[in-house]
Amino acid sequence: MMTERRSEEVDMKPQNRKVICSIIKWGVTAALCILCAYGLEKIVFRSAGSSEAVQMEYVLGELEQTGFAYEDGKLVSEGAYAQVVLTAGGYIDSLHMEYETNGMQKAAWSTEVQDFENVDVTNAWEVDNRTHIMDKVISAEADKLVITFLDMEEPIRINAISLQRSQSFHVQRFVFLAAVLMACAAIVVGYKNYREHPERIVAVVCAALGVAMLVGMPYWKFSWDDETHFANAYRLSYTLTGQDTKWNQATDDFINIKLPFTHSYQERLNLKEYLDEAGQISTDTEESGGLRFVLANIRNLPTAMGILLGRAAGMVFTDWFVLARLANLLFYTVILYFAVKIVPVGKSLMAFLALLPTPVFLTMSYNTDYFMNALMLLAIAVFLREYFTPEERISRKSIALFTVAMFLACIGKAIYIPLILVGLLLPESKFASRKQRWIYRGILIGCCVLVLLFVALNAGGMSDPRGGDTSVSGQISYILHNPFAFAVVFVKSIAKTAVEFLFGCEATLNFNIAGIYEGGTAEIIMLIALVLLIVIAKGNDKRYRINARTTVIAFGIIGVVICFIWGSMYLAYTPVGSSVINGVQARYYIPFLFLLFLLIPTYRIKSTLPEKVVMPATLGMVTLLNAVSVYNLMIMK
Amino acid sequence: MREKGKKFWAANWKLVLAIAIALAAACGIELIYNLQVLTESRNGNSRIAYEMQDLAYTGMEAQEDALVSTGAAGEIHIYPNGIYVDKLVYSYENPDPSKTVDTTVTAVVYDVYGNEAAESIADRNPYVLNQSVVNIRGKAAELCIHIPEGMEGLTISSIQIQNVPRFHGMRWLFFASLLSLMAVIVAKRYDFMGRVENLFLVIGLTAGTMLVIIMPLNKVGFDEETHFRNAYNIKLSGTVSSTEAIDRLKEASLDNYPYNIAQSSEERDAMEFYYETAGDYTGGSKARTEVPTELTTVAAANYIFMALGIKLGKLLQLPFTAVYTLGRLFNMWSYIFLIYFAIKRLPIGKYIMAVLALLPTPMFQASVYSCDAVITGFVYLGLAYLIYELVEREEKITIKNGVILLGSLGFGMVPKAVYLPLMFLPFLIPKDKFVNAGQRRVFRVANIVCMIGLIMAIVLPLLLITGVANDTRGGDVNAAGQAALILSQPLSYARVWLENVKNTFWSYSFGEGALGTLGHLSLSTCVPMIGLLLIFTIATDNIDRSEKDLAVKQKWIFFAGAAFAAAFVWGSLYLAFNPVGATVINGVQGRYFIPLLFVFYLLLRRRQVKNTMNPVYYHYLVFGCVLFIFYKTFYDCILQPYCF
Repeated sequence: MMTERRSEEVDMKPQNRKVICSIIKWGVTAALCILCAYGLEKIVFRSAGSSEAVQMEYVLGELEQTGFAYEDGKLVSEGAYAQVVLTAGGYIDSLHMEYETNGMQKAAWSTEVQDFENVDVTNAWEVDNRTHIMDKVISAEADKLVITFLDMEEPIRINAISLQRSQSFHVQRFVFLAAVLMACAAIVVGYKNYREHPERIVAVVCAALGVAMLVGMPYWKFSWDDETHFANAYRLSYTLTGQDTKWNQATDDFINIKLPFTHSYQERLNLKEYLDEAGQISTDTEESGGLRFVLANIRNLPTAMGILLGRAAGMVFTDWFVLARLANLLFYTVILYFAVKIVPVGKSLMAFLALLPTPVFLTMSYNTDYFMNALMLLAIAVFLREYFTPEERISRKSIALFTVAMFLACIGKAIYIPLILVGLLLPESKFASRKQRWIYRGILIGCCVLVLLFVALNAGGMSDPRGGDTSVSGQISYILHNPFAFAVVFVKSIAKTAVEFLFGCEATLNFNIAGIYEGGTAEIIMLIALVLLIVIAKGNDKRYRINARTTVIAFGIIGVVICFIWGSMYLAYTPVGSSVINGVQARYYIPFLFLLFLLIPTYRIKSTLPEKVVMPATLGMVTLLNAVSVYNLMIMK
Repeated sequence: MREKGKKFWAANWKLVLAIAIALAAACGIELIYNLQVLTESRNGNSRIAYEMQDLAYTGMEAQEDALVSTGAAGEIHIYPNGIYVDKLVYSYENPDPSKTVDTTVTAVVYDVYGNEAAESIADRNPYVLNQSVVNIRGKAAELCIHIPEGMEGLTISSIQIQNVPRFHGMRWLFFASLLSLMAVIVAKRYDFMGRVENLFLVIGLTAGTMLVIIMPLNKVGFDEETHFRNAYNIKLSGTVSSTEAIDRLKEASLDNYPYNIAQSSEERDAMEFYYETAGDYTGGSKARTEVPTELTTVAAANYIFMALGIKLGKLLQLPFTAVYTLGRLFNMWSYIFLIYFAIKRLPIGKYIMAVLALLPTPMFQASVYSCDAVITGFVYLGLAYLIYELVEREEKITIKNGVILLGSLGFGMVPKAVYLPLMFLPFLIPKDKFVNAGQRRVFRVANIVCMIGLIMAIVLPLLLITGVANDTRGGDVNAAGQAALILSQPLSYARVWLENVKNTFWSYSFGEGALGTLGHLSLSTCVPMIGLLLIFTIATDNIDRSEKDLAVKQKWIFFAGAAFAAAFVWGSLYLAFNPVGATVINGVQGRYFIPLLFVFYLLLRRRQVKNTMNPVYYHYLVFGCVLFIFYKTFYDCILQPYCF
């Protein structure tokens, strides 16, 4: 007995040592990344003007100005145009202004005094009436700074004005840098994992890129339907504990899109302060949603759990607001980990598609598409594993995993229901008996019916008034009267957008409110990597060949989904009789992109490029794409 | 002989039959295009003329049978009451010779659902015509001709709607060439296996010839008037016959304005009719003049192919428009044959070159008066011979191959010596490739002589011709001042350069800038697809599963050569075309990088990716996409807007 135990201890020792070494290695890597990020933030980004005075305060009454009256120690504008001249004499990091106004005002800064008629509006911005403090980034060397207020409909009252001469420590950028460095380091340090466990590195990179993006996400509506999904998640967080929903000023402001835009780190801090205070002011109470509400909003579950956890821990609004997004990231990372682990072929392609900026952006916002994207990847991974091992019987675990993942993915957006039918394409040899096969088919069809029933029961008003003069019944009647014309519009719309939606920036480098990152280099990197990964996805292994029948049927299923997407938007979001289909977005294609690309019969193209080369190159490219786009569209702004 | 004929027929009857079917099918397509017009003309609506006084108008005055613009913005309304309108025709007389007649026609037509939808058509009329024929091609509720402000005295008359069936030769040719190509690719599929150059030749010659024929007759390419002048006035004799109208095509004139092109087949016919007399250069013609020939620059030699086409046309006493087209045709054919020989010689990257050479911009540049096609052709030929020598290590380099290699690179670069860094690449040929040390020495010396020649081609004009370094089109340009600025602030210049490169990299490597721009015409409508096809071809070029490739070191040196040449392109334009201290480098066009693109693509090619596809299907896929891009682009950008 003693001898056995001793030999176990001897066996365990190298294993333990390996784990400890691994922990130390990753710990040191993380520490180094943080240190480097700190160094970069301190040395590189704070270099400008760091040696000069920190802040220059101005006495309002002594300022050189036009169009203002000096009243009670404040400057009050008198007409449509007004100008203030601030002597600077060196580097200006930012302009701080405390003000009051009743409407949104336009202002522009320059380093020269200009006529009101000929103001250069290159550096124009909106002076937001929803806030009273503004910190505008200037980042220029100048003798003076001229602020011109243009076409004012309401007067503006300036209470205080000052110039910041040097940057304060930019926590956002520091975390961003640390996260990006961590992603890069993980790609390098984890090189031993690429052959056996690439999913581990994918998960680390996913988490790092998510964090890098999270710090760039503002506190206001930033993604598609953010406010609606936030409201649902918030309500769900109360419903899960059986409580009535307690709304507060901060949640109301977010849902009603009343929060001001922030354009600098200081403004972000100001808004954070406001939200944390507003989060303490109760406004309304709403009854618990009940089980039906929970099921209808199951895709908000990770977010709701994050909110719930934050609230339970007594966090202030902005902290649990971030925690909820981190919960999304955790969910996405875990599901992606298993999807990459399970999928037998195209691991790099899957990692690439999942980690492109738009899918990560969807994860880091309150939008629930990430939930569907992740589960769809998991379901397809399970399907492919079973499909490429025809000699092995399908396990109950696989059936359950595929069905549950598909059910949860489709329950939020019923247009993807046909994708459940992909499961029917497994060969006969996967089943022990005909009976088992029929049971399996029954489960899948039952799953489809269940989703449809659920969606039908929960369907509210079908028309979406955001589309304009919409009417589902009117549109159907119109289509029935003009079937040929509708077919032309339908096919034209799909064909016209096909290349952009499948290979363009719309579904890959799109940050909604922040815009599409169309920097020439980003597009080329994305496209080259994508096409190469599609071409070499099946490697050099003869087993990974999808037969023609399966390919055709699967393409057909995807075709039906595409028709559903366009058809549903034409019915619900497009004015009756329009010859253009409105509202269809490239992100609706993301859930089936992996399957679609893998179906392309590229098995004739053999790649002897090893996974240890392809995977790090893939991860390197997505890291680069994320870093560059997030820095330019979020951190810089 | 009979036996031979029988054999040929036995081997090719399928092909002949397929082409015959293709030509007949093109006639069928032509019939389909005319169906609606045939119906309308049978209903008695073939020509509906409108009396001027019956029309609703503003800003115009009625005078006899015409409407005269008062100088204010004017409108003329025509109400066809929902009938199909193929063309709207009106005559005009412009009293102001300094202006072209540019109107806008708004057509209120019925969309697919039968709802009214307004479409705006810019009707920019060629300077030499006096009748406008606008394609409407739809059931129209209303047509409105908008006369812009400031056209005082412009007389509009003879407004009519035309629904006359017509056999459009160019449209027929377009579809006939496409269908014939498809027939040839399918019928001769096994003959093209392993001979991609033959497939390129068939596509290039057929599609290229068609493209030249449908190309508008006045300037559409960048600086085409200068290139036409260089080709027409080439110093092969003391003088050449010309006319005033032809001379106006040799300069930037209103006759030649690239945005006032014939917009319908009728207008094109009218242009041809105009040049039949105004461009009659033949003996006995009243319009004929004799102009002295010119030796513009050393680079004039590159116009030899275009010049030969012009000479041949004139020798055959062809009408001027045919002569003009023949010059373009020779440019196209020389390009296709040069690339054909380059692909034939290439041991690797054959598909990459074939696809790249058939893309819209390279083909467009070959179909107009431009020396780009000859430059690209010769540079590619030189590179192909060089790559062959580098990859095929066993064979010794022959004198013939050495001459072709250096001669092609040198001759190709003469007009644009900015590609000079590529001339360093032949130094990569290793010692063991030469028969003996003497041969190696001669080759190296010849290489150096070529380089010196190219340097002279840059330096001599700068020394001998005052102001040649400054292109005034760029504004307040001062090459010496710009150079001084760069030398005093090299880092700032590097930043400006990198910023400009970054902003245009995609466009100039896989995008619209290098491969989708059609001179003064619109951009290709297949831009994302061009990039996708190229990337796919680069990834799958290795269809012969060959292990041959350039060595890593050679690849890096190739890359350095191409990168330096690209930097020279940017740098030369920064010096010669931009005001001192500009932070945006103007004047750089994607087409300048086409000769370098093949080198860049070759570096992306991975021999570890082996394409085991059936070459027949691979040809269908790759060249099917090439044909789609080519024909869709030119249908959208030339055939439909200018030849219907």
